[in-house]
Amino acid sequence: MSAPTTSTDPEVAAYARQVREALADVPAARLEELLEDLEEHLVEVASETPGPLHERLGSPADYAAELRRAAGLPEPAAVAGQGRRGVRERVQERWGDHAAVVAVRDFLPELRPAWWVIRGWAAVAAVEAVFLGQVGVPLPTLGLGPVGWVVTGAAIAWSVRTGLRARAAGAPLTHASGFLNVGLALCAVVAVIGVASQRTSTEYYPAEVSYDSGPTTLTHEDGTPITNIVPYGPDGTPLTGVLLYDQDGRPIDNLSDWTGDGTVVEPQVSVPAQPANAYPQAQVVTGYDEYGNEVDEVFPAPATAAPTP
Amino acid sequence: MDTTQLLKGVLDLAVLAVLDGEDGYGYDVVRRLRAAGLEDVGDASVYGTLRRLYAAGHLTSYVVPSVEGPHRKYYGLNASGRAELTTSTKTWTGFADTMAALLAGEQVAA
Repeated sequence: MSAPTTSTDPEVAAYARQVREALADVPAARLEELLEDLEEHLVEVASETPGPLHERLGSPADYAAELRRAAGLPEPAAVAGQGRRGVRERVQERWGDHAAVVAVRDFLPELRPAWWVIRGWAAVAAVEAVFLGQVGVPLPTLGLGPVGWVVTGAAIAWSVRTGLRARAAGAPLTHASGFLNVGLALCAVVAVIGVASQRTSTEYYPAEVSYDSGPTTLTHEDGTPITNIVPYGPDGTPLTGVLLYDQDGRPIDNLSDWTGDGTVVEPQVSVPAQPANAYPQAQVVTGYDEYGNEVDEVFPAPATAAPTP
Repeated sequence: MDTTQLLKGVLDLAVLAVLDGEDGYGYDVVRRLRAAGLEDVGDASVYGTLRRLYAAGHLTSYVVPSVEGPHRKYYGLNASGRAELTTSTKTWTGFADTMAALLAGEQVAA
C-alpha cells in the first residue's frame, strides 16, 4: 500500500532505507509490520516542514533508535565498533543509494534458494574432496555409489528445508548460523577447486583422449601408406596368391587405398575373384599424366596379358 | 527532570487521547501533541507508537488520497482503543493523584 509519491522522492527513500538498515536485526515480519508506511509518514514530514529530513528528524540511526524504543522492540544485541562504523557509513552514504547497488541488493535475496541447494551439495562434496581427493559431478558419492547420492540428496533437502523455515520465521541471522554459512561457503570453494583440478588433470594427460579417425590402414613407421604387399619366396622368386593372416587368424586386408602422393589405389575387380588378403593384390592405380588426364595403371602387370609360354 | 523520560510512559495514553478527539495522520498527531504542550515529543516516537497501537489492534487506519500532497494514512480509535484509553486514563489519574498527594505530603513534611 505504498503511495506513488514514495518512490519519486530519493531523499525520503534514502532516509527510510537507512532507518531500515539500522533495524536490520529486528525479525523481518515484525519490522515490516512496524515500517509498513514509514515512507508515507516521512513524505508527510518532508512535505510539511522545510529543510532536509535529517535536519528535521536527526540522523536515520537516531530515528531508528527512537522508533525501536517507542515500538517496544528489543535493543540491538551488539553495537558495531565506532571506528569501523564510520568507514561503513561513509561507504553507504556514497554508494548505498546508487541505482545499481539498490538493484543488486533487492535481487540478491531471490538467490537464497540456490544457495541452499549449493551449500547442501558443497558440504558433501567438500568431505569427498578432502577424503577421496576428487569430487563426483554432479552428485558426490563419497565412494559409496548410490548410497552417496542419497546422502547428497538428503543434505540438499535438509538445507533447503532449514532455509525455508528460517525465512518463514523471519528470524535475524545469528552468529552460529552466520559462521555455519561461511563454513559451507568455504566447503563450496574446496569442492569447486576439487572439480576444477579434475578438469585440469584430464587436460594434462591426453592419453585418455582418443581421436576416432575411422579404421586404420597399413602404414610404415614414417607414415608412408602401404598400398600393396609383394611376397617373394626364399629363392627370390615372386610369389602370387599368398594369403596373409595375423596372429589371430584374421585376414590382413587393410591396405591403404591412397599412396603418399595422393594417387587412388583400388583393388582390381578380377575374374576369378581373389580373397581380399591374397597378395600381391591386383590393383588399378589411378594417376594423372602431364596433361591432367586420368591414367589407370594395372598392377602388377596383368599375368593374363603376358604371353604364356 | 527530563520530560522525555516521563513522556515514554504516557505516550500511548497521549496518542490515544489525541485520536479520541479526531482521527489523524502521523505528522498531524505529532503536531497536535506539540500544540498541546508536549513539545519534546519525537517524530519517531509517535510513529512507532502509532504502529505499535495499530499492531495491537487498538487503531483503525485508512488512506485518504490527496490532490496536491502525498496520500495520508489516517488513524482512529476502534472499540479496543477506546477501552484502552479508558483503562489507561484511570491508571494515569490514580497515579497522578498519588504523586500529587505524595509531593504535597513531602512539602507539608518539609
